[in-house]
This record gives sequence, C-alpha cells and structure tokens, in this order.
Amino acid sequence: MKVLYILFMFTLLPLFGSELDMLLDDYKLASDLSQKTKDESAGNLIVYTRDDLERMQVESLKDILKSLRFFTYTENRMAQTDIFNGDPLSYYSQTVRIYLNNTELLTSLTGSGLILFGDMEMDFIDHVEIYEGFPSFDFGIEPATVVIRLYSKSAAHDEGGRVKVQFGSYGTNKQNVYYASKEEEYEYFFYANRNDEKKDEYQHDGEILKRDKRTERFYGSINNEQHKLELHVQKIYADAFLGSLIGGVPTSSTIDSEFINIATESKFMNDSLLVNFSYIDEEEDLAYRYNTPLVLYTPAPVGVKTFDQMIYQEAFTASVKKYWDIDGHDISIGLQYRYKHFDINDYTFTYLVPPAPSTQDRKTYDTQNIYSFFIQDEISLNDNNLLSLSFMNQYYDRNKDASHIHTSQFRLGYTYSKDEFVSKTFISRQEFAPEPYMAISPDYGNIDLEADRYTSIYQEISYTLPQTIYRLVFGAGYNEKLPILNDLGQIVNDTSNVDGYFASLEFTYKFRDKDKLELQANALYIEDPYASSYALVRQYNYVARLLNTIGRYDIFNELVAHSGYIDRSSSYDYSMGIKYEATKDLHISFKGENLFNDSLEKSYFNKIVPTVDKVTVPTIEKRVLFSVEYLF
Amino acid sequence: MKIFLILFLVSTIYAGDLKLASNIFEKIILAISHDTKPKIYIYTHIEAIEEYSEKFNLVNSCEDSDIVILSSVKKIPSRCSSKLLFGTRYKHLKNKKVIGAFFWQKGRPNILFYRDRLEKNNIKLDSSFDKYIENE
Repeated sequence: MKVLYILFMFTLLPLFGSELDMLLDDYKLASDLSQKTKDESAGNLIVYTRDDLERMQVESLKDILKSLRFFTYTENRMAQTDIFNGDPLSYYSQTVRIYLNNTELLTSLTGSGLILFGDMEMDFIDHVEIYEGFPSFDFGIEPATVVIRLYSKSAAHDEGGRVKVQFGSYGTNKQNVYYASKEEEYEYFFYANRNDEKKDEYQHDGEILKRDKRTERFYGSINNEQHKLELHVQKIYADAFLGSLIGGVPTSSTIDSEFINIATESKFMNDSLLVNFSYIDEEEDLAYRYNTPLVLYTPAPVGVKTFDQMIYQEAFTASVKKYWDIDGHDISIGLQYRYKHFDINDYTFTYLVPPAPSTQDRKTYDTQNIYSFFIQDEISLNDNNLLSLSFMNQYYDRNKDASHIHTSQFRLGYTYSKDEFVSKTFISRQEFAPEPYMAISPDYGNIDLEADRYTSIYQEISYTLPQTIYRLVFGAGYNEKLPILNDLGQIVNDTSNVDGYFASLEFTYKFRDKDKLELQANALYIEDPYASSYALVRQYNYVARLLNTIGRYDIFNELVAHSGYIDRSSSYDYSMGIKYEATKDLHISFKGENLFNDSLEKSYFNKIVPTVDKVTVPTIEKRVLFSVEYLF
Repeated sequence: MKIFLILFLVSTIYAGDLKLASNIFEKIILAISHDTKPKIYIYTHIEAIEEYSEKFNLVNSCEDSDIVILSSVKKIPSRCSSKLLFGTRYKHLKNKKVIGAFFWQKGRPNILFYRDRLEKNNIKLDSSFDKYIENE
C-alpha cells in the first residue's frame, strides 16, 4: 500500500511546474483553434475544444451527440446515426448538416451526411462546433436546424505524428496514424484509420441481430496560404441490424459503403472572397437474408428470402462567397450550386412465391440541380448591439416525374452584450425541400411531397465570470407540412401544425487550475403527430460532467440521464475515463462507457401487420476501451 | 473585422494567445541576451512580437540587431548570419546557426535549445530553462 502511495505521489510531482511551464500550458489552452473559427453570432453555439476532446477521451462523434442540448444520440433500424429517428422511416435527420472543415459531408439521397458520419472516429479532429437554433445561412447551400462543424488537425499545431492503438469490449479494436509537416511554401496533414467496432448481439424470433461495424478512412490535406486541397475516403463494412424492410427478422444483414470526397478551397482579395469546389462519389451495397421469409405487403403478402441492392450517388458543389466590411455592416453574399445524381434501381429480390408483376409505374427522379443564393448583413448598431438579417433562396430543378421546388429562408438575429452579460435572440422562418429518399423510396416515397416549413424563436442568455458561466436557452417553434407517415405507410405532409417548446439551463464552474464541472438540464416538449389530439411528448435530459487534471492524470466523469422518452421512461448513462501521461509523448488511457448498463433504449418495428412487434436495444452500449498513443 | 463586442470578446481571447506568446518570447529573449533591452530584428513576420512591439526593442535591419527571430530560414540575409538566430519552427534547428526555437509540434507548444550551440555563443541560461536544453 505504501509503495502504491509513493508511486502515486511520484506521478503528482509534475503538478508543480515552473513559471515557464505554466506559461506554455496557458498558451496551449489560449491557442485553441476554435477561438479562430467559431462564430458566436451564427446560432446557439456549443464548442468542444481540443482540450475538451482529449480530456473527455472523445472516441467518436457519438460521444458528443449523446449529451447534445435538447437531443440525444439515436440510430435508425440499420444501425446508422439518425438523431431525429422516427422508425420505421429509415432517416429523419436530413436537416442536421455536418461539415469537415469547410466541406459539407453529404449523401445525395439523404441530403445530410450524418447517416454516414454520425459515429465517425475523432482521432483526426482538432475541435468541434455545434450550432443549434436554425444557424446562420453562410454555412451551406441548404438550410439546417443543426450544423455540426468538425475541424481536422493541421500542421499549424500538430507538426509531427501520432500512432494510436485501442482494444475494447467484444474484441473492438482501432489503429490509426497521422503525420503533419510544414514546409516553407506549403503544409500537409495525412491520416489513416482502421476501426473494428464490435457490439453486443440481440436475439429476436430465433435470429441474432448484430450492429458490428468496420470503418477504414484516409484523410489528407495539402495547403498553402491561399489554396487547400483535401481528399477524404471512407469505407464501411457494417451489419445492418433489422434492415430497412419491415415484416421479419433477417438471418444476416449487411450495409457496406464507399465514400470518396475531393474538395478545394481558395481565398482571394485578402481572404474576403472564398471559392469552394467539392465532388462526392458514394456507393452502398445492401444485402439481407431471411431464413423465415419476410412478409412484405405489396399489397398482397409475399415472402422475401433475399434482398440485394446497390445504390450509386454523386454530388458536386460549387460555391462563391464574398465578404465586405462597410461602415459597421458585415455583408456577405453567396452564390452556390449543387448537382446530385442517384440510382437506386440496381436491386434484386428472391421470393418464396413471386408476386404478380406490378402494373403501375412508380414515379421517380434521379437528378437534382440546386441553385442557391444568400445575403446576410450583420449591423453593429454600437459597441453593445448587433443586428443580423439573413435571406436565402433555393431553386430545386428535379428531372423526370418530379416538379421543381422553390424554397426560401429568413432569419433575424439580435445580440446584446455588456460586460459579462450576453443575450442572443434568433427568429427564423425556413422552408426545407424534401430530400430525394423521401420522394423516391419504394417503401414510403411520395414524389408529390411539398416543402415543410419551420418557424422558431430562440433566446439565449449567458453570464460569464472568470470561474463560472451561467447560460439559459429557451424557445418555441412550429412546423407546417411536417413529413409524416400516413396509415398506408406513405410519407405525406401533415395537415396540422406541430408545435414544440424547449428550455435549457447550464452551469460551468472552473476550479483549481484545469478542473471543470459542467451541469445541464434541458427539456423538450413537442407534439406527437402520431398521437391522438397531438399530445405533447415531454422529454428531459440531464448532464453532469467533471473534468479533473491531477498531476499526470486526466480524469473524466460524466452522467447523462434522460426521462420522458417513449421507449424508456427513465435512464442514465455513467461514463468515466483516466488518461495517464507516462511521458510527454506516451499516453495510456482507460475509458468505460455506460458502465451501469442503464442507458436509453430505442424500439424498432419488426412487424406492423397483422400485429405490432418491436425490437428494443440500448442506444449506447456498455463497453470499456484501453488505448495507447505515441507521438513522434 | 467585426466591431461588435461579442466578436470583440472572441478576438480578445485570440489576442490572449498572442499576448502569452509575446510573454514567452520576452522571457526567451531576455534569457539569451547579455543586454537588458536587446535589439530585435524580425525575419520576416512574427505576429505575437509585432502585436506587442512595445515590449521589445525592435529594429529595422539585421545590422543593428542583437537577436534575429526567424519565421523562415529561407534566404536569410547574409548580414544576419553573424547575429544570434532564434527559430519559430522545429525545422529551423536544422540550420546550425540557430541556437534554439519556440514552436508548435505534436499538438503542444515547445521550447528547445541545443547545449553545444548555446556554449558556442557563450550563452548561459538560468535554471528555469534546464528542461528545454538538449544535446544535439
């Protein structure tokens, strides 16, 4: 025991560093790159700095999304990220937009790339910004309710390299490496990763459902002062859990995908003119096998034995943005164009008894051109008051049987700041065009679906002292023509409005040198369009997070609790981690997630007719991870 | 670019890192100099020193300087080579005339001096720099 105590005290010794050490530590924290990229006036902002990500041992984006203000991490029936999931719809988070640096990660069919990148490993990410409350329009070509911006590490701070290996529950393992260098005229960053994530298995109707996933990634960037070139390749080999079809439990289900993105960014005229190009090519390969044929109603029941589908998608985006600073007006104007193409017709069913050939031609389209324009004026009324006016407009040109769609968005922001007090108000009215999968899905698609409309008001008040931050966020909104499933299983625009109310109270306390306590309680009341009389669903989320640094140890404790959710009335997820700095270049980490195995659960429809049958699984599984990092 | 206070707050924090960097440069410069107010020449651009120039005795030419702080080692004027050279990148240390550097690497700021280069220039740093001195 004495020996242990002496060893522990020995590890505490570096706590007492010199003045120069402390100056370097302070400089490291103050130099966080988020200080240069975040935009407080762009929305209700949540920032995870490099220091936060490292000390919280954030392994994947899921680790952040599970404690997101008002929402939590959820997956669809194919074990893909879908934080607004409304099973049996395969995706409902089309308004959550995700960016890597200045490039939007998307799939042509779903609009948003959260479905592919929502649980991406974070080893090459420097910091994360999440903008809620219908954020600023200059982020992208299409409107959003939530914008997630991921910023990769770069040679500016990370010259040199790192290798990391990780092992965990069920045989989970991860290996990745990055290297960055800065030459006289240019700099580069390269990253390669292989992540084999294993999860628990679930028995249902005599079959075993799996959610394992192997991800391979390459990301590289090379840039000088003016231009940047990025290449991003992601390959996923994953179990598809229940699969997209309803009516039976698969014996095996897989969904493999390959995503390739090439993007460029150029700055001109003292960085006031930005020109971006991005090309994305994506393929998905779905395969489901059924020992007990799946009963698919088309409209007569047929028994499906196998289903195979190849989905091809591509997207090209070009954008030009110009910024002016004229007499207290920060004016930005953007012209953007996006081309999307998709092909879902390469599929094969095998049946127990083949159905009669369909006599109806299904309406469809496979190409979409989006022309977008925005103008924004941020007016500094005086040193304390900022008014922000934004207008954005899109024209969706769709081919074949689909008609054109015209959408527009308006946003009014007002920010008042005096000393430690900041107040932000955002009023917005936004139209969202239906994404292609909602129009052409053979399961529930409706080509005549109209744009839905969200109107909302958000208010944020914060009070910042040297050691404490108090923050209150609240608001209300209503959705018109919300896409919902009707009794025939087709997606349609709701004829009634769906109202929602939300509030969050947050407190941060920084104590000693690097210790931090964060507390958050938030509530979301939203009408359920599937309930009689649109009854309110009342969801509550609570987060308590404690970050401590003691000598060479970074210690992380987090409790995320939920109540009021449909599939589980109350739940909590306790996670903790310890990171040990053996030397400046060798770090050893242990992390436990959902250690008491009592997290939120989510149900998915297995059968709807003749009787409803569901499969219920935890959204976050209990697991432990052990990692070693070496910097060179 | 933005005048408004909330963004000013952001820039204040950003300015905070420049100020801290300038404090670190100040400590290093005083440690390596025999003078209490050494003359500094910047080749070619160091934002933290330029922003807080009042702390430093900046001069406009190498000839007049005691110490040259480098943002690049490319095409260093020959008239600078007789001066004390201090780098801001790890790679600057490849130039044997550079006595030390303050740089970002592996996600953290670092200070590094090579012992023989300090001795060659008759520089004796105080003990607070001991952990930042290595043998080449």
